[in-house]
Amino acid sequence: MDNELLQKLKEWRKEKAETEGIPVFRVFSNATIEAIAQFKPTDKEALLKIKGIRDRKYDKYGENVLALVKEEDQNFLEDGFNEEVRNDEPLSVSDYLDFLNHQLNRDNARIRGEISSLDIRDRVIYFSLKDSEDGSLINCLIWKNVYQLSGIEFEVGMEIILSGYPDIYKPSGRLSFKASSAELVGEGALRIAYEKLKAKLQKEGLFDEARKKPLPLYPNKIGLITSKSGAVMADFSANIGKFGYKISFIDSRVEGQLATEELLDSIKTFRNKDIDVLVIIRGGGSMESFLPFNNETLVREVINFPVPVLVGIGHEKDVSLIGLASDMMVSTPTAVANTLNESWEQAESIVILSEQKIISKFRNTIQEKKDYIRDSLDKMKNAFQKIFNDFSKAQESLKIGFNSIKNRMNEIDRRLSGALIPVFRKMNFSVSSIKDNIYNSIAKEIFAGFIENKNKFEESLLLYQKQLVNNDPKRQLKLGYSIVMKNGRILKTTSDIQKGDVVTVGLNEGSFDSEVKIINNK
Amino acid sequence: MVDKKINLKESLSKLNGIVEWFDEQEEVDVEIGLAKVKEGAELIKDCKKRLSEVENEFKEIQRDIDKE
Repeated sequence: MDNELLQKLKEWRKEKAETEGIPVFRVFSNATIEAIAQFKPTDKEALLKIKGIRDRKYDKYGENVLALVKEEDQNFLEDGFNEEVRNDEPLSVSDYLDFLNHQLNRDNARIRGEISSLDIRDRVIYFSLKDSEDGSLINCLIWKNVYQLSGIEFEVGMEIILSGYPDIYKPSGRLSFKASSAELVGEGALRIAYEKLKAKLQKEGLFDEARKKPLPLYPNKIGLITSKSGAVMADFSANIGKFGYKISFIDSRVEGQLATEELLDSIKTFRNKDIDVLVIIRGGGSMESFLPFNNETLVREVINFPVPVLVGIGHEKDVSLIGLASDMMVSTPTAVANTLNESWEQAESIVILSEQKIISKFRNTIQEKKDYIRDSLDKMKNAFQKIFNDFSKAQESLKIGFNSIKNRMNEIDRRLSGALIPVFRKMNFSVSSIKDNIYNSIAKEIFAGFIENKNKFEESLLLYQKQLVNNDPKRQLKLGYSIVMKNGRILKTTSDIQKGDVVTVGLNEGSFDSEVKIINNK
Repeated sequence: MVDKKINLKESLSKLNGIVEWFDEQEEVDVEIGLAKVKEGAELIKDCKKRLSEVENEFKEIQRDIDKE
């Protein structure tokens, strides 16, 4: 990578960002400008091949970038030229230092040593790194922002590892190692730094339960930061429920000093994304490998993150400071998945329980109402039954009453009949009255079947009547006959009388008594 | 799937409201109760639909870099 070009691109980017009033990464991300410094595209086509540059970006910045690459190439050519001609033409000190820097900047190095002097300024920290074996010394500098990101508080005597490249400061001709990252060496030093930072953050109240945001119910949009390689992703994927999660994933280093920067950038990226919860996971490891998770800058980023942060970091003795600062911390990727699933699974239970409750409550209500209706019906039935019973009684009474009347009537009828029969008998029933009776009586109805014999019957009666009329004794008397009776008995033969008997002689009109004088037997 | 998160939250809250309503009533009015049961049944249907197995969407995104 051409560090000189990289520096120039960064300076240009910074100017652009300031002019436009936007963050530098909105111009180009570090990855993009690093790729430009590495591949040095010379035309549009080559530039568009770099990730992060599309037509829109090209239209806006493409020419500037190509010009910078070209300019740098020109310088290189000139350097080359200078190299060729330097034996003949002496170089200016400035040109020579530029030449040297160009060469020096090209290769990154990682060096280890002990801090032997320290000068912390506003924007930069000057220090020297001493070889603990032979005392060799190199001047170093680190920009304040890089220093802060390292999470290390430099102290004289502290053993550290620096990444960076050498550079000669032209005004003094002094060579310094420009550190792009710093890390502590050894478990002991790491532990001390860890304990110190932990105490500091704790004092600030950053680990307090009170400031922790609760995880959202039914999280749907999940921001996930972890390393794509390793078993972590597999564990997480295997255990996350199928609840239609929308998981946005950023692949980030989770170990080593470089991880700090990647994690920080990843968290910042998610700051502008629409997510319900941010999840950071990794497996277990040594304290050294956890360095990024104990980084102060990262801890503060997590604390200020707008949505809840769920951290799942593998089992280990010391809890990571990010874990302590997060809104919720569990120990494995599986536990993270289960935590995310929890409210969804509870929702399932709530639905089932609610369903059961509502149905049973309403069923009870219906049963109560049914019971009430049945009771009411029973009551009504009983009430009506009473009325019916009363009515039946009344009916019975009436029946008895009617029977009584009937009996009375029958009695009257019987009595009347009984009384009338002798009367009728006493009366000298005329044939016509009998006839009338026959006509008018129920007998007529009874003998309705005999109606056809009526005339015959009448004729018989008339005949009887005629015979009776003809034989009426009074009729004989009218004709001049008389009736002789002795002691009320009609005399028909002389044998019934004796001489001297007094007999009564009945005439048509009147009668007289006569004494028997002579009896003539012929 | 359309974002049904809010619906689920709201539906569960409404469902809970219905359960509480039944709990609170000393004597349930059958007409209102029936309406609540109907509403509850709809909510349960919605919730069950949302809670039924839905595949997750995985999407890898690039991080923005801001070193300065």
